[in-house]
Amino acid sequence: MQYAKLIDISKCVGCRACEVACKEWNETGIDDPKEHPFGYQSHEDLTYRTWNVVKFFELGNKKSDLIVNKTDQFNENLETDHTKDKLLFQYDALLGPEPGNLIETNLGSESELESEEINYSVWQVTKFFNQNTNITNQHEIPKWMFRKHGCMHCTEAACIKACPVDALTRNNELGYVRLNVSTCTGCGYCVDACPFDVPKLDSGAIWGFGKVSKCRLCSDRIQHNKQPACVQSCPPNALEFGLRSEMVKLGQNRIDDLKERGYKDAYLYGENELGGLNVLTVLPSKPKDFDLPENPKVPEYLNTWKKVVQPLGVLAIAGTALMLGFSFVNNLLQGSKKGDSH
Amino acid sequence: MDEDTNNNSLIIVPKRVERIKLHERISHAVNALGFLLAAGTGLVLFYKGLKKLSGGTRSRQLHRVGAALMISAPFFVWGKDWQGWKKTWREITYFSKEDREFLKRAPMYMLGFPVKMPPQGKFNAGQKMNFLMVTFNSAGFVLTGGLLMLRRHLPEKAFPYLIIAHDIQAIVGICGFMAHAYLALLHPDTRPSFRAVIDGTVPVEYALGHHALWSESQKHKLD
Ligand code: HEM
Ligand code: SF4
Ligand code: SF4
Ligand code: SF4
Repeated sequence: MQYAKLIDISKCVGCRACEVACKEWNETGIDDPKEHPFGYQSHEDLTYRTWNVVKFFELGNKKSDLIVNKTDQFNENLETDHTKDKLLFQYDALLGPEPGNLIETNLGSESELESEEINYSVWQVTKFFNQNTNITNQHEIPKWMFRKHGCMHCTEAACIKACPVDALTRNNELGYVRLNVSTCTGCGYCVDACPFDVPKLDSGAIWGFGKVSKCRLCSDRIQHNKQPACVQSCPPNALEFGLRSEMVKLGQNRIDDLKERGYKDAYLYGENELGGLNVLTVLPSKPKDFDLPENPKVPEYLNTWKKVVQPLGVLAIAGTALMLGFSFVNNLLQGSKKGDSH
Repeated sequence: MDEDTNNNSLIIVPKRVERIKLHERISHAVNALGFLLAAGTGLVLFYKGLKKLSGGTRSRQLHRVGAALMISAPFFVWGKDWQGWKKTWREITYFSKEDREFLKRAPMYMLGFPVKMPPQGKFNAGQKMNFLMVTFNSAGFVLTGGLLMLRRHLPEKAFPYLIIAHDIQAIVGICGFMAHAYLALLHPDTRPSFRAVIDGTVPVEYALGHHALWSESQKHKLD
Protein backbone atom coordinates (compact mmCIF):
# COMPACT_ATOMS: atom_id res chain seq x y z
CA MET A 1 0.00 0.00 0.00
CA GLN A 2 1.62 3.20 -1.16
CA TYR A 3 1.47 6.29 0.96
CA ALA A 4 1.56 9.91 -0.09
CA LYS A 5 1.80 13.39 1.26
CA LEU A 6 -0.82 15.92 0.17
CA ILE A 7 0.16 19.58 0.13
CA ASP A 8 -2.81 21.90 -0.14
CA ILE A 9 -1.36 25.26 -0.99
CA SER A 10 -4.75 26.92 -0.88
CA LYS A 11 -4.64 26.25 2.85
CA CYS A 12 -0.97 26.99 3.54
CA VAL A 13 -0.41 30.17 5.54
CA GLY A 14 3.35 30.18 5.05
CA CYS A 15 4.26 29.73 8.71
CA ARG A 16 7.18 27.42 7.90
CA ALA A 17 6.52 25.17 10.87
CA CYS A 18 7.19 22.26 8.48
CA GLU A 19 10.66 23.58 7.67
CA VAL A 20 11.53 23.75 11.34
CA ALA A 21 10.01 20.37 12.15
CA CYS A 22 11.99 18.76 9.31
CA LYS A 23 15.22 20.23 10.61
CA GLU A 24 14.46 19.18 14.15
CA TRP A 25 13.47 15.62 13.38
CA ASN A 26 16.20 14.96 10.84
CA GLU A 27 18.84 17.00 12.65
CA THR A 28 19.94 18.64 9.46
CA GLY A 29 21.25 21.72 11.23
CA ILE A 30 21.04 25.28 10.12
CA ASP A 31 22.51 26.98 7.14
CA ASP A 32 21.76 30.61 7.62
CA PRO A 33 21.62 31.93 4.10
CA LYS A 34 23.85 34.94 3.58
CA GLU A 35 21.39 36.61 1.31
CA HIS A 36 17.74 36.46 2.08
CA PRO A 37 15.54 36.12 -0.94
CA PHE A 38 12.81 38.58 -1.75
CA GLY A 39 9.59 38.09 0.08
CA TYR A 40 8.42 35.74 2.70
CA GLN A 41 10.87 32.93 2.12
CA SER A 42 13.67 31.67 4.33
CA HIS A 43 16.00 30.22 1.69
CA GLU A 44 16.33 30.92 -2.00
CA ASP A 45 16.14 27.20 -2.68
CA LEU A 46 16.53 23.81 -1.05
CA THR A 47 19.99 23.23 0.36
CA TYR A 48 22.00 20.30 1.66
CA ARG A 49 20.62 21.06 5.12
CA THR A 50 17.17 22.29 4.15
CA TRP A 51 15.05 19.54 2.67
CA ASN A 52 11.91 21.56 2.36
CA VAL A 53 11.48 25.22 1.62
CA VAL A 54 8.21 27.09 1.78
CA LYS A 55 8.37 29.00 -1.46
CA PHE A 56 6.69 32.35 -1.67
CA PHE A 57 4.73 33.47 -4.71
CA GLU A 58 3.25 36.86 -5.27
CA LEU A 59 0.89 36.50 -8.16
CA GLY A 60 -0.30 39.60 -9.93
CA ASN A 61 0.88 43.16 -9.51
CA LYS A 62 0.36 46.00 -7.11
CA LYS A 63 -3.24 46.80 -6.42
CA SER A 64 -2.88 50.29 -7.88
CA ASP A 65 -2.79 48.52 -11.22
CA LEU A 66 -6.37 47.58 -10.71
CA ILE A 67 -8.51 49.61 -13.06
CA VAL A 68 -12.07 50.18 -11.95
CA ASN A 69 -14.04 51.42 -14.92
CA LYS A 70 -17.33 53.10 -14.34
CA THR A 71 -20.01 51.93 -16.69
CA ASP A 72 -22.06 54.46 -18.65
CA GLN A 73 -24.85 54.16 -16.15
CA PHE A 74 -22.60 54.75 -13.17
CA ASN A 75 -23.39 58.39 -12.57
CA GLU A 76 -26.95 58.07 -13.68
CA ASN A 77 -27.61 55.26 -11.28
CA LEU A 78 -25.68 56.92 -8.56
CA GLU A 79 -28.01 59.88 -8.78
CA THR A 80 -31.08 57.77 -8.60
CA ASP A 81 -29.77 55.12 -6.31
CA HIS A 82 -27.40 56.71 -3.87
CA THR A 83 -27.32 60.40 -4.84
CA LYS A 84 -23.64 60.81 -3.99
CA ASP A 85 -20.80 60.16 -6.39
CA LYS A 86 -18.10 60.14 -3.77
CA LEU A 87 -17.78 57.32 -1.36
CA LEU A 88 -15.43 54.90 0.17
CA PHE A 89 -16.21 51.37 -0.55
CA GLN A 90 -14.91 48.02 0.25
CA TYR A 91 -15.31 45.65 -2.47
CA ASP A 92 -14.69 41.99 -2.10
CA ALA A 93 -12.67 41.90 -5.21
CA LEU A 94 -14.75 40.12 -7.75
CA LEU A 95 -13.43 38.30 -6.14
CA GLY A 96 -12.17 36.53 -4.24
CA PRO A 97 -13.80 33.21 -3.80
CA GLU A 98 -11.37 33.25 -0.91
CA PRO A 99 -12.05 35.99 1.59
CA GLY A 100 -9.13 38.27 2.15
CA ASN A 101 -8.83 39.67 -1.32
CA LEU A 102 -10.44 42.88 -0.22
CA ILE A 103 -9.78 45.81 -2.40
CA GLU A 104 -10.20 49.25 -1.14
CA THR A 105 -10.84 51.94 -3.66
CA ASN A 106 -11.04 55.44 -2.44
CA LEU A 107 -13.21 57.40 -4.76
CA GLY A 108 -13.33 60.40 -2.54
CA SER A 109 -11.65 61.74 0.51
CA GLU A 110 -12.49 60.14 3.75
CA SER A 111 -13.13 63.45 5.50
CA GLU A 112 -15.68 64.47 2.93
CA LEU A 113 -17.35 61.18 3.37
CA GLU A 114 -17.44 61.48 7.10
CA SER A 115 -18.65 65.06 7.04
CA GLU A 116 -21.59 64.12 4.93
CA GLU A 117 -22.20 61.14 7.12
CA ILE A 118 -22.93 58.77 4.37
CA ASN A 119 -23.19 55.40 5.89
CA TYR A 120 -23.97 52.80 3.38
CA SER A 121 -23.61 49.25 4.36
CA VAL A 122 -20.82 47.37 2.72
CA TRP A 123 -23.45 45.18 1.22
CA GLN A 124 -25.19 48.06 -0.50
CA VAL A 125 -21.98 49.50 -1.80
CA THR A 126 -20.76 46.22 -3.06
CA LYS A 127 -23.96 45.59 -4.87
CA PHE A 128 -23.88 48.99 -6.46
CA PHE A 129 -20.33 48.65 -7.68
CA ASN A 130 -20.94 45.17 -8.88
CA GLN A 131 -23.61 46.51 -11.15
CA ASN A 132 -22.00 49.73 -12.24
CA THR A 133 -18.32 49.06 -12.74
CA ASN A 134 -16.14 46.54 -14.47
CA ILE A 135 -12.72 45.73 -13.19
CA THR A 136 -10.62 45.16 -16.25
CA ASN A 137 -7.47 43.50 -15.03
CA GLN A 138 -8.81 41.49 -12.21
CA HIS A 139 -6.16 38.81 -12.69
CA GLU A 140 -3.73 41.42 -11.47
CA ILE A 141 -5.19 41.16 -8.03
CA PRO A 142 -2.19 40.30 -5.90
CA LYS A 143 -2.21 36.97 -4.18
CA TRP A 144 0.35 35.75 -1.71
CA MET A 145 0.70 32.02 -1.97
CA PHE A 146 3.09 29.48 -0.50
CA ARG A 147 4.19 26.12 -1.80
CA LYS A 148 6.15 23.72 0.33
CA HIS A 149 8.86 22.49 -2.00
CA GLY A 150 10.85 19.27 -1.65
CA CYS A 151 11.34 15.80 -3.08
CA MET A 152 8.26 14.55 -4.93
CA HIS A 153 9.14 10.86 -4.46
CA CYS A 154 8.47 10.13 -8.13
CA THR A 155 7.46 6.71 -9.40
CA GLU A 156 9.56 7.24 -12.50
CA ALA A 157 12.40 8.90 -10.65
CA ALA A 158 15.05 10.48 -12.86
CA CYS A 159 17.48 10.59 -9.93
CA ILE A 160 17.41 6.80 -9.60
CA LYS A 161 18.12 6.37 -13.30
CA ALA A 162 21.04 8.78 -13.07
CA CYS A 163 22.73 7.33 -10.00
CA PRO A 164 25.78 5.27 -10.98
CA VAL A 165 26.02 3.35 -7.72
CA ASP A 166 22.34 2.76 -6.80
CA ALA A 167 22.58 5.05 -3.79
CA LEU A 168 19.02 6.10 -4.67
CA THR A 169 16.39 3.41 -4.58
CA ARG A 170 12.64 3.35 -4.43
CA ASN A 171 10.65 1.68 -1.73
CA ASN A 172 7.72 0.63 -3.89
CA GLU A 173 5.80 -0.81 -1.02
CA LEU A 174 5.48 2.45 0.88
CA GLY A 175 6.19 4.77 -2.01
CA TYR A 176 9.24 6.87 -1.35
CA VAL A 177 12.70 7.37 -2.83
CA ARG A 178 15.43 6.73 -0.35
CA LEU A 179 19.02 7.89 -0.39
CA ASN A 180 21.81 5.78 1.02
CA VAL A 181 24.25 8.42 2.12
CA SER A 182 27.15 6.06 2.71
CA THR A 183 27.17 4.73 -0.87
CA CYS A 184 26.58 8.14 -2.45
CA THR A 185 29.67 9.24 -4.37
CA GLY A 186 28.60 12.86 -4.57
CA CYS A 187 28.89 12.77 -8.34
CA GLY A 188 25.85 15.02 -8.62
CA TYR A 189 24.32 13.18 -11.59
CA CYS A 190 21.00 13.10 -9.71
CA VAL A 191 21.24 16.86 -9.24
CA ASP A 192 21.47 17.28 -13.00
CA ALA A 193 18.68 14.82 -13.72
CA CYS A 194 15.91 15.68 -11.22
CA PRO A 195 13.11 17.59 -12.98
CA PHE A 196 12.32 19.37 -9.70
CA ASP A 197 15.86 20.39 -8.87
CA VAL A 198 15.65 18.64 -5.52
CA PRO A 199 18.90 16.88 -4.53
CA LYS A 200 21.55 19.26 -3.26
CA LEU A 201 25.28 18.71 -2.83
CA ASP A 202 27.12 20.05 0.19
CA SER A 203 29.93 21.23 -2.08
CA GLY A 204 30.44 22.01 -5.72
CA ALA A 205 31.51 19.45 -8.31
CA ILE A 206 35.10 20.57 -8.40
CA TRP A 207 37.10 18.69 -5.79
CA GLY A 208 35.10 15.54 -5.36
CA PHE A 209 34.21 16.03 -1.72
CA GLY A 210 30.70 16.22 -0.42
CA LYS A 211 27.55 14.20 -0.89
CA VAL A 212 23.96 14.76 -1.79
CA SER A 213 20.91 15.04 0.44
CA LYS A 214 17.16 15.37 0.11
CA CYS A 215 13.85 14.67 1.85
CA ARG A 216 13.38 11.01 2.78
CA LEU A 217 9.65 11.26 3.43
CA CYS A 218 10.55 10.62 7.06
CA SER A 219 10.84 6.94 6.21
CA ASP A 220 11.90 6.21 9.77
CA ARG A 221 8.70 7.74 11.09
CA ILE A 222 6.26 6.29 8.58
CA GLN A 223 7.65 2.84 9.14
CA HIS A 224 6.60 3.31 12.75
CA ASN A 225 3.13 4.48 11.78
CA LYS A 226 3.93 8.09 12.51
CA GLN A 227 3.19 11.01 10.25
CA PRO A 228 6.14 12.74 8.64
CA ALA A 229 7.44 15.50 10.90
CA CYS A 230 6.42 18.27 8.51
CA VAL A 231 2.87 16.95 8.21
CA GLN A 232 2.47 16.63 11.91
CA SER A 233 3.59 20.19 12.50
CA CYS A 234 1.29 21.98 10.05
CA PRO A 235 -1.15 24.24 11.97
CA PRO A 236 -3.87 24.75 9.30
CA ASN A 237 -3.64 21.12 8.14
CA ALA A 238 -2.39 22.16 4.73
CA LEU A 239 -0.36 18.93 4.84
CA GLU A 240 -1.91 15.52 5.05
CA PHE A 241 -0.38 12.07 4.93
CA GLY A 242 -1.99 8.72 4.32
CA LEU A 243 -2.70 6.01 1.78
CA ARG A 244 -2.02 7.42 -1.66
CA SER A 245 -5.45 6.44 -2.96
CA GLU A 246 -7.08 8.36 -0.13
CA MET A 247 -4.85 11.35 -0.62
CA VAL A 248 -5.78 11.45 -4.31
CA LYS A 249 -9.44 11.41 -3.34
CA LEU A 250 -8.96 14.13 -0.77
CA GLY A 251 -7.04 16.23 -3.27
CA GLN A 252 -9.65 15.76 -5.98
CA ASN A 253 -12.44 16.83 -3.66
CA ARG A 254 -10.53 19.95 -2.81
CA ILE A 255 -9.95 20.67 -6.51
CA ASP A 256 -13.68 20.31 -7.22
CA ASP A 257 -14.36 22.65 -4.35
CA LEU A 258 -11.88 25.23 -5.62
CA LYS A 259 -13.27 25.02 -9.14
CA GLU A 260 -16.73 25.67 -7.87
CA ARG A 261 -15.42 28.75 -6.16
CA GLY A 262 -14.01 30.17 -9.34
CA TYR A 263 -10.50 28.75 -9.50
CA LYS A 264 -11.03 27.26 -12.91
CA ASP A 265 -7.38 26.19 -13.33
CA ALA A 266 -7.20 24.37 -10.01
CA TYR A 267 -5.20 21.20 -10.46
CA LEU A 268 -4.03 18.22 -8.44
CA TYR A 269 -0.36 18.05 -9.29
CA GLY A 270 1.27 14.64 -9.06
CA GLU A 271 -1.69 12.39 -9.61
CA ASN A 272 -0.28 11.21 -12.94
CA GLU A 273 2.99 13.08 -13.41
CA LEU A 274 6.02 10.79 -13.80
CA GLY A 275 3.98 7.68 -13.19
CA GLY A 276 2.46 9.30 -10.11
CA LEU A 277 4.20 11.32 -7.44
CA ASN A 278 4.00 10.37 -3.80
CA VAL A 279 3.81 14.02 -2.94
CA LEU A 280 0.58 15.50 -4.30
CA THR A 281 -0.04 19.21 -4.47
CA VAL A 282 -3.35 21.03 -4.66
CA LEU A 283 -2.73 24.02 -6.91
CA PRO A 284 -5.29 26.83 -7.26
CA SER A 285 -3.88 27.76 -10.64
CA LYS A 286 -1.41 26.56 -13.27
CA PRO A 287 1.73 24.67 -12.18
CA LYS A 288 4.01 27.26 -13.71
CA ASP A 289 2.59 29.88 -11.35
CA PHE A 290 4.21 27.88 -8.59
CA ASP A 291 7.52 27.05 -10.19
CA LEU A 292 6.50 23.54 -11.17
CA PRO A 293 7.12 22.07 -14.63
CA GLU A 294 3.89 21.70 -16.59
CA ASN A 295 4.84 18.25 -17.85
CA PRO A 296 7.84 16.93 -15.95
CA LYS A 297 9.92 14.31 -17.74
CA VAL A 298 12.80 11.99 -17.09
CA PRO A 299 15.46 13.70 -19.23
CA GLU A 300 15.98 12.01 -22.58
CA TYR A 301 19.78 12.07 -22.35
CA LEU A 302 19.75 9.56 -19.50
CA ASN A 303 18.75 6.89 -22.02
CA THR A 304 21.43 7.83 -24.54
CA TRP A 305 24.04 7.95 -21.84
CA LYS A 306 23.12 4.99 -19.67
CA LYS A 307 21.35 2.70 -22.13
CA VAL A 308 23.41 3.26 -25.27
CA VAL A 309 26.85 4.81 -24.69
CA GLN A 310 27.76 2.96 -21.51
CA PRO A 311 26.72 -0.54 -22.61
CA LEU A 312 28.42 -0.02 -25.98
CA GLY A 313 31.51 1.11 -24.09
CA VAL A 314 31.53 -1.99 -21.92
CA LEU A 315 31.09 -4.05 -25.09
CA ALA A 316 33.97 -2.27 -26.82
CA ILE A 317 36.29 -2.77 -23.86
CA ALA A 318 35.32 -6.42 -23.48
CA GLY A 319 35.68 -6.89 -27.27
CA THR A 320 39.15 -5.40 -27.22
CA ALA A 321 40.15 -7.69 -24.36
CA LEU A 322 38.82 -10.71 -26.26
CA MET A 323 40.63 -9.67 -29.41
CA LEU A 324 43.89 -9.30 -27.53
CA GLY A 325 43.39 -12.64 -25.82
CA PHE A 326 42.84 -14.24 -29.21
CA SER A 327 45.97 -12.55 -30.49
CA PHE A 328 47.97 -13.87 -27.58
CA VAL A 329 46.87 -17.46 -28.10
CA ASN A 330 47.23 -17.14 -31.86
CA ASN A 331 50.79 -15.93 -31.34
CA LEU A 332 51.61 -18.97 -29.26
CA LEU A 333 50.14 -21.26 -31.93
CA GLN A 334 51.99 -19.52 -34.74
CA GLY A 335 55.17 -19.71 -32.65
CA SER A 336 54.84 -23.46 -32.11
CA LYS A 337 54.10 -23.97 -35.84
CA LYS A 338 57.33 -22.16 -36.64
CA GLY A 339 59.06 -24.42 -34.12
CA ASP A 340 57.62 -27.57 -35.81
CA SER A 341 58.79 -26.61 -39.27
CA HIS A 342 62.41 -26.39 -38.13
CA MET B 1 87.65 -11.18 -22.14
CA ASP B 2 87.17 -7.57 -21.21
CA GLU B 3 84.70 -5.94 -23.60
CA ASP B 4 86.64 -2.71 -23.62
CA THR B 5 89.79 -4.20 -25.12
CA ASN B 6 90.12 -3.46 -28.76
CA ASN B 7 90.61 -6.82 -30.33
CA ASN B 8 90.51 -7.11 -34.11
CA SER B 9 89.24 -10.64 -34.06
CA LEU B 10 86.10 -9.53 -32.29
CA ILE B 11 83.55 -6.93 -33.34
CA ILE B 12 82.16 -5.60 -30.13
CA VAL B 13 78.86 -3.84 -30.14
CA PRO B 14 76.89 -2.71 -27.11
CA LYS B 15 74.04 -5.15 -26.65
CA ARG B 16 71.49 -2.46 -25.90
CA VAL B 17 70.84 0.85 -27.48
CA GLU B 18 69.25 3.91 -25.90
CA ARG B 19 65.87 4.82 -27.30
CA ILE B 20 64.05 6.95 -24.74
CA LYS B 21 65.64 9.66 -22.60
CA LEU B 22 65.17 9.90 -18.84
CA HIS B 23 62.79 12.89 -18.85
CA GLU B 24 60.73 11.22 -21.54
CA ARG B 25 60.52 8.07 -19.45
CA ILE B 26 59.43 10.03 -16.40
CA SER B 27 56.77 11.76 -18.46
CA HIS B 28 55.60 8.42 -19.85
CA ALA B 29 55.41 6.83 -16.40
CA VAL B 30 53.54 9.75 -14.86
CA ASN B 31 51.10 9.76 -17.74
CA ALA B 32 50.55 6.00 -17.51
CA LEU B 33 50.00 6.16 -13.76
CA GLY B 34 47.64 9.11 -14.04
CA PHE B 35 45.70 7.48 -16.83
CA LEU B 36 45.36 4.17 -14.97
CA LEU B 37 44.18 5.96 -11.85
CA ALA B 38 41.68 8.10 -13.76
CA ALA B 39 40.46 5.17 -15.85
CA GLY B 40 40.06 2.86 -12.87
CA THR B 41 38.21 5.40 -10.76
CA GLY B 42 36.16 6.62 -13.73
CA LEU B 43 35.00 3.09 -14.57
CA VAL B 44 33.53 2.80 -11.09
CA LEU B 45 30.93 5.36 -12.15
CA PHE B 46 30.69 3.96 -15.67
CA TYR B 47 29.90 0.32 -15.07
CA LYS B 48 27.39 -0.71 -12.40
CA GLY B 49 29.23 -3.99 -11.82
CA LEU B 50 31.98 -1.97 -10.12
CA LYS B 51 29.72 0.13 -7.92
CA LYS B 52 30.93 -1.54 -4.72
CA LEU B 53 34.43 -0.19 -5.38
CA SER B 54 33.54 3.47 -5.29
CA GLY B 55 34.42 3.98 -1.64
CA GLY B 56 31.96 6.83 -1.37
CA THR B 57 33.57 9.98 -2.63
CA ARG B 58 37.10 8.49 -2.56
CA SER B 59 37.11 7.31 -6.17
CA ARG B 60 36.15 10.78 -7.36
CA GLN B 61 38.97 12.35 -5.41
CA LEU B 62 41.46 9.85 -6.85
CA HIS B 63 40.04 10.60 -10.31
CA ARG B 64 41.20 14.15 -9.79
CA VAL B 65 44.65 12.98 -8.63
CA GLY B 66 44.89 10.90 -11.81
CA ALA B 67 43.81 13.90 -13.85
CA ALA B 68 46.48 16.08 -12.20
CA LEU B 69 49.18 13.50 -12.95
CA MET B 70 48.06 13.26 -16.57
CA ILE B 71 48.10 17.02 -16.93
CA SER B 72 51.58 17.30 -15.40
CA ALA B 73 53.07 14.54 -17.58
CA PRO B 74 53.87 16.51 -20.76
CA PHE B 75 55.58 19.27 -18.75
CA PHE B 76 58.44 16.89 -17.92
CA VAL B 77 59.21 16.88 -21.64
CA TRP B 78 58.22 20.42 -22.51
CA GLY B 79 60.16 21.86 -19.58
CA LYS B 80 63.31 19.83 -20.12
CA ASP B 81 63.75 19.87 -23.87
CA TRP B 82 61.36 21.94 -25.94
CA GLN B 83 63.43 21.54 -29.10
CA GLY B 84 63.50 17.77 -28.62
CA TRP B 85 59.72 17.79 -28.23
CA LYS B 86 59.31 19.73 -31.45
CA LYS B 87 61.49 17.21 -33.26
CA THR B 88 59.54 14.29 -31.80
CA TRP B 89 56.25 15.95 -32.76
CA ARG B 90 57.46 16.41 -36.33
CA GLU B 91 58.38 12.73 -36.51
CA ILE B 92 55.11 11.64 -34.97
CA THR B 93 52.97 13.65 -37.32
CA TYR B 94 54.79 12.58 -40.48
CA PHE B 95 53.44 9.42 -42.10
CA SER B 96 55.65 8.00 -44.85
CA LYS B 97 54.71 5.46 -47.51
CA GLU B 98 56.11 2.69 -45.29
CA ASP B 99 54.00 4.00 -42.41
CA ARG B 100 50.83 3.80 -44.44
CA GLU B 101 51.70 0.28 -45.52
CA PHE B 102 52.42 -0.57 -41.87
CA LEU B 103 48.97 0.60 -40.82
CA LYS B 104 47.35 -1.53 -43.52
CA ARG B 105 49.04 -4.64 -42.19
CA ALA B 106 48.65 -3.70 -38.52
CA PRO B 107 45.24 -5.33 -37.91
CA MET B 108 46.46 -8.79 -38.91
CA TYR B 109 49.57 -8.23 -36.85
CA MET B 110 47.50 -7.23 -33.86
CA LEU B 111 45.50 -10.42 -34.21
CA GLY B 112 48.69 -12.41 -33.87
CA PHE B 113 49.22 -13.56 -37.45
CA PRO B 114 52.77 -13.55 -38.79
CA VAL B 115 52.90 -10.52 -41.02
CA LYS B 116 56.02 -8.98 -42.45
CA MET B 117 55.99 -5.30 -41.53
CA PRO B 118 57.70 -2.60 -43.59
CA PRO B 119 60.83 -0.95 -42.10
CA GLN B 120 60.10 1.80 -39.60
CA GLY B 121 61.74 4.90 -38.15
CA LYS B 122 62.20 5.73 -34.48
CA PHE B 123 58.48 5.38 -34.00
CA ASN B 124 56.48 2.90 -36.00
CA ALA B 125 53.16 3.97 -37.46
CA GLY B 126 51.27 2.23 -34.68
CA GLN B 127 53.23 4.09 -32.03
CA LYS B 128 52.58 7.30 -33.92
CA MET B 129 48.86 6.62 -33.96
CA ASN B 130 48.92 5.84 -30.25
CA PHE B 131 50.92 8.99 -29.50
CA LEU B 132 48.48 11.13 -31.46
CA MET B 133 45.47 9.47 -29.89
CA VAL B 134 46.90 9.98 -26.40
CA THR B 135 47.77 13.61 -27.09
CA PHE B 136 44.40 14.61 -28.47
CA ASN B 137 42.44 12.44 -26.09
CA SER B 138 44.28 13.92 -23.11
CA ALA B 139 43.55 17.43 -24.31
CA GLY B 140 39.92 16.34 -24.68
CA PHE B 141 39.87 14.85 -21.17
CA VAL B 142 41.14 18.11 -19.75
CA LEU B 143 38.43 19.97 -21.65
CA THR B 144 35.42 17.72 -21.00
CA GLY B 145 36.56 16.72 -17.50
CA GLY B 146 37.39 20.29 -16.54
CA LEU B 147 34.05 21.57 -17.80
CA LEU B 148 32.27 18.74 -15.96
CA MET B 149 33.91 19.99 -12.78
CA LEU B 150 32.74 23.51 -13.52
CA ARG B 151 29.30 22.54 -14.81
CA ARG B 152 27.38 24.25 -12.02
CA HIS B 153 28.49 27.50 -13.66
CA LEU B 154 27.49 26.38 -17.16
CA PRO B 155 24.07 26.18 -18.80
CA GLU B 156 22.17 23.06 -17.77
CA LYS B 157 22.15 21.81 -21.33
CA ALA B 158 25.92 21.33 -21.32
CA PHE B 159 26.00 18.36 -18.96
CA PRO B 160 24.68 15.62 -21.28
CA TYR B 161 27.12 16.57 -24.03
CA LEU B 162 30.05 16.75 -21.65
CA ILE B 163 29.44 13.47 -19.87
CA ILE B 164 28.75 11.56 -23.08
CA ALA B 165 31.83 13.04 -24.77
CA HIS B 166 33.90 12.18 -21.68
CA ASP B 167 32.55 8.62 -21.80
CA ILE B 168 33.37 8.19 -25.48
CA GLN B 169 36.86 9.47 -24.81
CA ALA B 170 37.23 7.06 -21.93
CA ILE B 171 36.16 4.16 -24.17
CA VAL B 172 38.60 5.12 -26.93
CA GLY B 173 41.36 5.76 -24.41
CA ILE B 174 40.91 2.52 -22.52
CA CYS B 175 40.73 0.35 -25.66
CA GLY B 176 43.83 2.09 -27.03
CA PHE B 177 45.62 1.66 -23.73
CA MET B 178 44.83 -2.05 -23.63
CA ALA B 179 46.24 -2.63 -27.10
CA HIS B 180 49.29 -0.52 -26.27
CA ALA B 181 49.94 -2.36 -23.01
CA TYR B 182 49.40 -5.71 -24.68
CA LEU B 183 52.10 -5.02 -27.25
CA ALA B 184 54.52 -3.75 -24.62
CA LEU B 185 53.97 -6.44 -22.02
CA LEU B 186 52.59 -9.60 -23.61
CA HIS B 187 53.10 -9.77 -27.35
CA PRO B 188 56.19 -11.96 -27.86
CA ASP B 189 57.49 -9.91 -30.81
CA THR B 190 57.28 -6.49 -29.25
CA ARG B 191 57.65 -7.33 -25.58
CA PRO B 192 61.41 -6.59 -25.58
CA SER B 193 60.64 -2.94 -26.21
CA PHE B 194 59.14 -2.51 -22.75
CA ARG B 195 62.48 -1.78 -21.12
CA ALA B 196 62.72 1.32 -23.29
CA VAL B 197 60.34 3.04 -20.91
CA ILE B 198 62.10 1.66 -17.81
CA ASP B 199 65.81 2.08 -18.38
CA GLY B 200 65.52 3.64 -21.81
CA THR B 201 67.11 0.90 -23.89
CA VAL B 202 66.11 -1.82 -26.33
CA PRO B 203 68.26 -4.72 -27.51
CA VAL B 204 70.21 -3.91 -30.62
CA GLU B 205 68.65 -6.76 -32.57
CA TYR B 206 65.26 -5.42 -31.63
CA ALA B 207 66.13 -1.97 -32.91
CA LEU B 208 67.42 -3.45 -36.15
CA GLY B 209 64.34 -5.60 -36.60
CA HIS B 210 61.63 -3.18 -35.56
CA HIS B 211 63.06 0.23 -36.30
CA ALA B 212 65.35 -0.50 -39.22
CA LEU B 213 65.29 3.02 -40.64
CA TRP B 214 66.03 4.54 -37.26
CA SER B 215 68.82 2.02 -36.51
CA GLU B 216 70.36 2.98 -39.81
CA SER B 217 70.49 6.60 -38.72
CA GLN B 218 71.90 5.61 -35.31
CA LYS B 219 74.73 3.49 -36.76
CA HIS B 220 77.34 6.05 -35.88
CA LYS B 221 76.49 5.50 -32.22
CA LEU B 222 76.85 1.74 -32.56
CA ASP B 223 80.28 1.81 -34.20
C1 HEM C 1 42.15 15.74 -17.16
C2 HEM C 1 41.62 14.63 -16.93
C3 HEM C 1 40.26 14.32 -16.40
C4 HEM C 1 39.35 15.10 -15.72
C5 HEM C 1 39.50 16.56 -15.30
C6 HEM C 1 38.21 14.28 -15.46
C7 HEM C 1 37.07 14.69 -14.78
C8 HEM C 1 35.96 13.93 -14.60
C9 HEM C 1 34.77 14.36 -13.93
C10 HEM C 1 34.58 15.73 -13.33
C11 HEM C 1 33.88 13.35 -13.95
C12 HEM C 1 32.46 13.37 -13.37
C13 HEM C 1 32.37 12.66 -12.09
C14 HEM C 1 33.07 13.38 -10.99
O1 HEM C 1 32.73 14.54 -10.68
O2 HEM C 1 33.99 12.79 -10.44
C15 HEM C 1 34.50 12.26 -14.64
C16 HEM C 1 33.91 11.05 -14.85
C17 HEM C 1 34.51 10.02 -15.55
N1 HEM C 1 35.78 10.02 -16.07
FE1 HEM C 1 37.08 11.54 -16.04
N2 HEM C 1 38.41 13.04 -15.99
C18 HEM C 1 39.66 13.04 -16.55
C19 HEM C 1 40.30 11.98 -17.16
C20 HEM C 1 39.73 10.76 -17.37
C21 HEM C 1 40.38 9.63 -17.96
C22 HEM C 1 41.80 9.60 -18.44
C23 HEM C 1 39.48 8.63 -17.98
C24 HEM C 1 39.56 7.22 -18.48
C25 HEM C 1 40.18 6.75 -19.37
C26 HEM C 1 38.26 9.13 -17.42
C27 HEM C 1 37.12 8.38 -17.30
C28 HEM C 1 35.98 8.81 -16.68
C29 HEM C 1 34.80 8.01 -16.58
C30 HEM C 1 34.60 6.63 -17.14
C31 HEM C 1 33.89 8.77 -15.86
C32 HEM C 1 32.48 8.35 -15.47
C33 HEM C 1 31.54 8.83 -16.48
C34 HEM C 1 30.18 8.23 -16.29
O3 HEM C 1 29.67 8.22 -15.15
O4 HEM C 1 29.61 7.77 -17.27
N3 HEM C 1 38.43 10.42 -17.05
N4 HEM C 1 35.75 12.63 -15.02
S1 SF4 D 1 11.77 14.77 -7.06
FE1 SF4 D 1 13.82 14.52 -7.90
S2 SF4 D 1 14.99 13.68 -6.18
FE2 SF4 D 1 12.83 13.37 -5.66
S3 SF4 D 1 12.35 11.31 -6.45
FE3 SF4 D 1 11.81 12.76 -8.08
S4 SF4 D 1 13.65 12.80 -9.36
FE4 SF4 D 1 14.27 11.94 -7.41
S1 SF4 E 1 25.30 12.25 -6.02
FE1 SF4 E 1 25.06 10.33 -4.86
S2 SF4 E 1 22.90 9.85 -4.99
FE2 SF4 E 1 23.29 11.41 -6.57
S3 SF4 E 1 23.71 10.22 -8.43
FE3 SF4 E 1 25.68 10.59 -7.48
S4 SF4 E 1 26.04 8.77 -6.18
FE4 SF4 E 1 23.86 8.79 -6.69
S1 SF4 F 1 8.75 14.26 4.99
FE1 SF4 F 1 10.26 14.41 6.62
S2 SF4 F 1 12.19 14.67 5.55
FE2 SF4 F 1 10.58 15.17 4.07
S3 SF4 F 1 10.27 17.37 4.25
FE3 SF4 F 1 8.81 16.42 5.65
S4 SF4 F 1 9.88 16.38 7.62
FE4 SF4 F 1 11.43 16.73 6.03
